[in-house]
Amino acid sequence: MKVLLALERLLKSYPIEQITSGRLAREAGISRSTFYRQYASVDDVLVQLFDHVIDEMVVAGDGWISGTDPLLRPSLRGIHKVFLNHGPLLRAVVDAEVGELTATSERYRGVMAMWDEAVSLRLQESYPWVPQPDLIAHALNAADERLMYYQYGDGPESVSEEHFNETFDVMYRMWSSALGIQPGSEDRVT
Amino acid sequence: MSLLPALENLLLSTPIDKVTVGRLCRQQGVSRSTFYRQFDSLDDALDQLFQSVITEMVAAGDPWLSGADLRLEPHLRAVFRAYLNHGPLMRAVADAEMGKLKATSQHYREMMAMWDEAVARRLSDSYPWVDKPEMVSHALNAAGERIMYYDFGGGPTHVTDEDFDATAQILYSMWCSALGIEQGSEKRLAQG
Repeated sequence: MKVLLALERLLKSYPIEQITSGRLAREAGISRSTFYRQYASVDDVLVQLFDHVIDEMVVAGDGWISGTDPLLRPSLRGIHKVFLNHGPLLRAVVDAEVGELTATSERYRGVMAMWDEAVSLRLQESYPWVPQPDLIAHALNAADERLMYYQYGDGPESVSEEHFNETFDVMYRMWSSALGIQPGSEDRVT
Repeated sequence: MSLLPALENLLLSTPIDKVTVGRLCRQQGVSRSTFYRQFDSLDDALDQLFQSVITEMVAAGDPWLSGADLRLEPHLRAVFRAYLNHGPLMRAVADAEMGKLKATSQHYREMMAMWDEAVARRLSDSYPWVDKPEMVSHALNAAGERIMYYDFGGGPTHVTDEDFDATAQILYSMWCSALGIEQGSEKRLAQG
């Protein structure tokens, strides 16, 4: 856990490609050999950290995704908040796609695919009037991911509450129109 | 067949990470030195192909992007059509992001940024009621890119006209609602 926290701390000031295992071990206050007893590489640490954040996101979105809460807004907002809180880490994960961090980049693709599937399932069950739910789920998630990456990548200290609300509203309106519901009440638009 | 069309052709059946200079040359019956007289690397060849598709896509979208013709639907559709016609190539380019094809992947990122900027400018000029045009542009392009990648990546022979229309329609309706205009007439929707 010490190493995971150290990596998230470092990511607030340095891009992932500048973080070596030596630097990470120093930040965590352990020796390199201790580091390598616990982790195979920086990539390995990043994946584990990412897994924790995904757990958080799944919890944040679960109400709507599982169908227990019919309202989209609180769940979507919860997911946006988690992304913001871990902005620098998630930016590093997305950037891993272009770099050499293959374990992280593979996990990232897996998570996006899982997310697409979960949203599509919810659309089919709760918004049966939505045509092509797979496509819609995919488009919305892609838009969300890109927007959050750019707007929240610097983390919570760099994003005002107002800016967060504006960003969230852009996405919430896009979701609402794709789902054919009224923003706010979330009643079906006829 | 010259080497660039041959590369695009090869991508119809072979994912980019399985394509090598040797394979391309064997298939064309030319020597590797012929290839390397024209290109620095496979990355370089892919990048050149990509640039020509971008030129096509920009030409397709230009009337709307430049503000000369503000009917969104025909131009959006033309951009999708250009993507579909080069689906396997565009898929390879997007996949280059994951791999070692640095020149292509860099140009891909730049192209997406350019596209975001051009759309944001058009929104500010012609749809001034759209709140946060940069973010909206970005979100719409991201959605479009991902959908086209998955739906059109197989190329025109894999996509029926009906499927193409369905996909184009979904994206068009997403654009219309983000721009606050009515589908079809493209008139601004009444507020409230």
